[in-house]
Amino acid sequence: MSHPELANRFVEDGERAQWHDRSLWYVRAKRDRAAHAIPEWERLRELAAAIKANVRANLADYLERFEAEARKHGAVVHWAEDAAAHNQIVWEILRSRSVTRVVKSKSMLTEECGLNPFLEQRGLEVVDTDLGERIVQLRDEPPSHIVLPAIHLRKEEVGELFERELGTEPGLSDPARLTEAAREHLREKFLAAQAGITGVNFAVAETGGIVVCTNEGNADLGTALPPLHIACMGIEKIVPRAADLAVFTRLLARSATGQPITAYTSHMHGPRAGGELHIVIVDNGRTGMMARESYRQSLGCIRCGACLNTCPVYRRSGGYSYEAVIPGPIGSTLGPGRDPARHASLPYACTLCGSCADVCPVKIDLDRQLFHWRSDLVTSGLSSPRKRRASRLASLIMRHPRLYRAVAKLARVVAARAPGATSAVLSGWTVSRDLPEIPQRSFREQLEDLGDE
Amino acid sequence: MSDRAGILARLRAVAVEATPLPELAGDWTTSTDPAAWFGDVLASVGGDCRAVADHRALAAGVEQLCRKLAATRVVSEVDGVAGALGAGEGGGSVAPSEVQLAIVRGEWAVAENAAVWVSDAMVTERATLFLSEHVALVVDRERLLSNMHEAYERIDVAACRFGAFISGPSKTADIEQALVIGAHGPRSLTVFLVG
Repeated sequence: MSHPELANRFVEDGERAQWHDRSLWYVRAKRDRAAHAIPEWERLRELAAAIKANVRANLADYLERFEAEARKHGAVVHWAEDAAAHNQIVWEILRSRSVTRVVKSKSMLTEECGLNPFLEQRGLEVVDTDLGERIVQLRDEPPSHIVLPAIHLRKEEVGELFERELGTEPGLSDPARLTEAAREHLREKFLAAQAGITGVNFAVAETGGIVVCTNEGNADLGTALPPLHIACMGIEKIVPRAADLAVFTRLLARSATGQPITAYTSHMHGPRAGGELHIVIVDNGRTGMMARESYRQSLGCIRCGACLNTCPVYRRSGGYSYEAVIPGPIGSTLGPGRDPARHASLPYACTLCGSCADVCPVKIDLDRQLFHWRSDLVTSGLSSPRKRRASRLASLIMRHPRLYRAVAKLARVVAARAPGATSAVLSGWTVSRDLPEIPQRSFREQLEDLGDE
Repeated sequence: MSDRAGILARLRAVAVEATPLPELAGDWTTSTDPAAWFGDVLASVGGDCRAVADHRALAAGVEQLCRKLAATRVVSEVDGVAGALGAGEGGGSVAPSEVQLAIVRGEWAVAENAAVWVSDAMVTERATLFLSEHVALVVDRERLLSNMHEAYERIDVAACRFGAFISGPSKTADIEQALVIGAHGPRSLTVFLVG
C-alpha cells in the first residue's frame, strides 16, 4: 500500500495521532536544548559531514585497514554481499557451536536483513533485549522508529502485553513497574544466553575496534556474559580515526534523545578473554547507493532518528505508514534506493520543508534527495499515473503563456460562478483545508489597470 | 569472486570526489570549574557526584554509600577501599549477578557529558559493571577533562579489549517516553572525585 493510504489509517484515530505527534515533538525539543547548549554544534556537524565524505571516497581502503587491525586483535571478520549471505554467515557461526539461545541488542541492519525470523525458523530462540525492541518483538511487530521502537504504543497496551506474555498483574500501566518486570524477564535471558548479537555504531579503521552505544546496557550484558559475540555492521559504519569518535559521540545522543551521551559507549577491540568475536561486514545494496551520486550522502547516516522526530509527516503518520525498515525522511530516500517500485510513494511523504536536513548531525541533504527522487521516479515511470498526468498538464500550461492566461481566466470564472468546482478538481488537497478565495482579476489585469491610471 | 572482493571492487569502481580528512583540533568548550560542570551534568543523567579530599575521605564516603544502599555484598576493585570494608577482593568471592555494589576505578572523567572511562584493566570481570545493582566509580580529580576531544587525545582505546564511557546509571524511556532508571544494568551510579 502507498504511504497516503497507510497514513489515512493512522490518522483515523485522531487522538492517538495527536499524541504521537506530541511525543515526538517532545524528543525534538530535547534535541534542540542539547544542541543549543554546545556553542560549537555547527562546527561539529561540519566536521562530521567532512569525515563521512572522506570515508566515502576511501571506503575500500578503510575497510581493508579495519579488517587487518581487527584481526590483529583476534576478531574474525566476515564479508556479506547481501542479506541472505549475512544471515547464512551468522547461522553457520551459531550452528557450528550448537547455540540455541541468543540475545540481541538493537541493530537496524539485522532488521534490514530479517535475521530474527531466519534464525527462529531454524529453531533458535532470539531475544531482543532493548526494552522497546522486546515490546514490539512480543507483539510480533517491527520497530516503528529507529531509536524509539515502541513510540507508537501507549503504556496501557504495554501493560496488557506484559500481562499476557510475562504474567504481570492485570491493569498495570506504570512505566517504572513495567520496566522492572522486563528487567527480571530479560535478566534470565541474559544469564542463559549462549551468544550475543549486536549492531555497530562505529568501526574504527586505524584501530580495528567497534563501538556500540546503548542507554540500557543491554549490549554490554549481551556481550559480557555469553562467550560468543557476533557484531553486524554495514560497510558505511567506518570512521578513520579513534579521535573522530569525539565528534560522533558528541553528536549522536544529543541528536537522538537530547542526552549529552548515551549511558554506555562501549569500545571493543577483539574478543573478551577466552571468548570469540565475529564481525560481519555487510553490503546489501550499499555499494549501489554509493554509485548514485545524488543519493550518496545518505550513506553517512548515523541512525540517530533526529530527522524522524522533526518531520511533520512522520510525526503525524507514524512509522508503519512507510512500510520500510527505516521510516521517516532518511527511510524515504533509502527505501526507493533499495526498491524504487515498492517505495515509490515515500519521496512524496514530504513537504520539502527541509527541517530534516537542518537537524541532521552529518548534514545529509535529505530534502534535496527526496525532491530528486520525485524526478527520478517520474522519469522511470514509477510515480503514480495521476501525478504524472497532472505534472504533464501543468508543464504544458506553464510553457505556453497564452494558454496559461486562458486557463487562469477560466478558473476565475468557474470559481466565481460555481465555488465547489475547483475544490472537486483538487479533491485530495481540499479534504482537510479550504482553498483561498480566488480574486476576480488576475495580477496582470490589476497591473494594467494601474498603468492606465 | 568472493563477497569481500566484490564489495571492494564495486567501491573502487566508483569515482568519489576526494576530500581531505579534517583536522579535529579546535577551540572546544572548556570550563574553569570542570568539577562543578561534571557534577551538574551527572545529576541531569541520574547519577550522583561526591567530591572527596583524599583516600581516607573516599573510604568514609563509600562506607556511607553502603549504609544508604543497605549493601552488604560489596565488591571493590579500588586499592584501599575493599580493606576498609572487609568486602570481597577482586570480585572473586561474589558472583557478579549477586553484587549489590561494585566499586571500580575510572581512568578519566569528562565534564561535558559526565562520562567516565572504565576499561578491562580496572575490573576483574567486565560483567560486574553491568550486572551489579549499584556502581560507584572512583576518579582522581586531576584526571577530569572538559570534553570528548581531550578524552580521545589521552585514551588509547585499542590498548584494552574493552573500554567504555559510562554516563550515569542504566536507563530507558521506551514506554511513553517516561524515564526509568535501572533498565538492565545498575540502578544507581555514584562518582567519587578524589583530590
